[in-house]
Amino acid sequence: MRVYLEIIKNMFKSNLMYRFNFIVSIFSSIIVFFIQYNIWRTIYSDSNVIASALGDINLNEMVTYLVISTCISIIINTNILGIIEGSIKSGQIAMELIKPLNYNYYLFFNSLGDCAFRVMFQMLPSLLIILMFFNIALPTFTNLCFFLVALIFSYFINYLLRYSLGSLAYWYMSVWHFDLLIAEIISIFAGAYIPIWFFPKALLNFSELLPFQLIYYFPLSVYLGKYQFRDILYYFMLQIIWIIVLFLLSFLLYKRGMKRLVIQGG
Amino acid sequence: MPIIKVDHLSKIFKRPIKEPGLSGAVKGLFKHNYEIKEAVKNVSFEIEKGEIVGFVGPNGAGKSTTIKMLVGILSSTGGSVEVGGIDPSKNRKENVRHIGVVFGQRSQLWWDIPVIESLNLMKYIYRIDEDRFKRNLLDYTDILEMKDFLHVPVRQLSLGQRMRADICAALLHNPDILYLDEPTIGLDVVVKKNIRNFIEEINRIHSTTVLLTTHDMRDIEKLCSRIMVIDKGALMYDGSLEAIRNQISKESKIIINYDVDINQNLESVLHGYKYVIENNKLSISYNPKQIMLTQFIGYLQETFSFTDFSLQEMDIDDIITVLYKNPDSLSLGGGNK
Repeated sequence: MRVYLEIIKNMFKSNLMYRFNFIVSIFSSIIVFFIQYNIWRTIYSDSNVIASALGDINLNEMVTYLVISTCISIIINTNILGIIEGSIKSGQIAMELIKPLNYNYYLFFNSLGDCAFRVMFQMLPSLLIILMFFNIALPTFTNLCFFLVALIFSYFINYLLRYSLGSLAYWYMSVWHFDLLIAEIISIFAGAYIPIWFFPKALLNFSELLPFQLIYYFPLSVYLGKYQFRDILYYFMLQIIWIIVLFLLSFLLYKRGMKRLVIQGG
Repeated sequence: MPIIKVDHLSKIFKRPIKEPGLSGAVKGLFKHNYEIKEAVKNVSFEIEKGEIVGFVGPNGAGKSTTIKMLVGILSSTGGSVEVGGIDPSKNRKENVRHIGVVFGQRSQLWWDIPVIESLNLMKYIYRIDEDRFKRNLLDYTDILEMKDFLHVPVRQLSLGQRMRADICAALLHNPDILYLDEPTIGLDVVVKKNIRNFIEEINRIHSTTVLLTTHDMRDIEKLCSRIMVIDKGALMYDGSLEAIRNQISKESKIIINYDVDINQNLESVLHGYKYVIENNKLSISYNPKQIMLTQFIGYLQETFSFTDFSLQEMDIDDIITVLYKNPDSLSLGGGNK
């Protein structure tokens, strides 16, 4: 197990080598945040609240939503799809398979190392800067705990979704466009930019059937205290079911893909 | 008991044929035609513990494919492979614990961080105990002269430095078998020499079994007592280097640069020798076992005046060409007069 901790550390150090990169990434998060904030301020203009599927939402709640949404996107972001595609395309995957390591754990801890880096050097600085200008609503302690659990589950859902799409590279080699597609789908149906509670009824029902809302919208709603305990349990269950489904799917893709790889060669 | 046992091994690839041009590419989206490529054909050999075996053949001959099957990252189509008593393709993780692999064209080091970080990671990957790890690291970095660049990120290393670091990384856990796929490709003479010395040392101290592919005959001469020649997927020769050496000397050439026209009496002077004339260069094949070179040159010097000559020994690719054209040439001990 120690080896995977070391992998996280190495990934962290690798990221540290590119200092300019994280300075730019802080700027980009902040700029995106300010654009979103100004759009919402214009929408609210004179009114204090806007009615939604979950009751009235005031501007402060909306700002909180945007801030936490920005944080979530930094935390769960992963380039796993690109990494899988790249190592299959270039044949570098052979260099991972000559080590007595579980390739999937290796990839996962790689991505965790990335995550740890981004939390420290992108999320925290961005958050500090944003909080100098805005007040955000704070959750109750219970809701904070639920929020953190929901966030961990949403990390897995996002990771497994992208992992599965990346595994298609065993068959199709070039799959990076899936990354763009999934990113767009997630930012719409997960409520990254526009909370799903503002969706029309039909779209709201539709997104209930998809796993995407469980990535952003559900943890955010928990943070803002929009859900009762029973709702929270229900969505936790949904998250777990989706994790199991996606886990089985990605495992199947991995097994099939590996078989194809060892038969066809890199 | 042999540590590597390969029995009637074969590998057939099925690859889609891509037709050229845009229309071909579009067609390929809907319908695939496949070509069958036999990368390895019915190859059998055994390697004993502690041997250093040179595995040679032209590009695309099937060397890497064979090594990949031995490592366990490629499955075979037919035949069997046994490494240290286990089937590598069924027990990849168990197999790779006991081997070290260097593919000269790739690196297993972390690209962005200093070399030493990647080497440290090996300690955890292979669960090497602290003392042994420290000792090995000290020894290896000393022999491979790595002290100067241990703290430099891999992406900033020269090819020779990177290759040494990769070889070091592959050996820190004292593997039983070391597979080296073109470890000296593109390196300068000094680094090549250094790497050869290191492989020799490792083999002597730990009696590590080494399977080495290379295009550099000097690697083979320095390291290998045994050589296997593969071409078009088939094993053409497996035996001592001595026999190959004899073959080389049989195929030596003397090349003479001449100024005046010497055509008229060549046939009588060089009767019985095979020779070719090209842009004022006369190239004569001879067998050093049968003639004294100094006498032969003296004889030629008397007969026609030339200013300059050079000797050419057959290199590995020439041998393979000869073997390919005439697979029996080695065993029959044939050659030109």
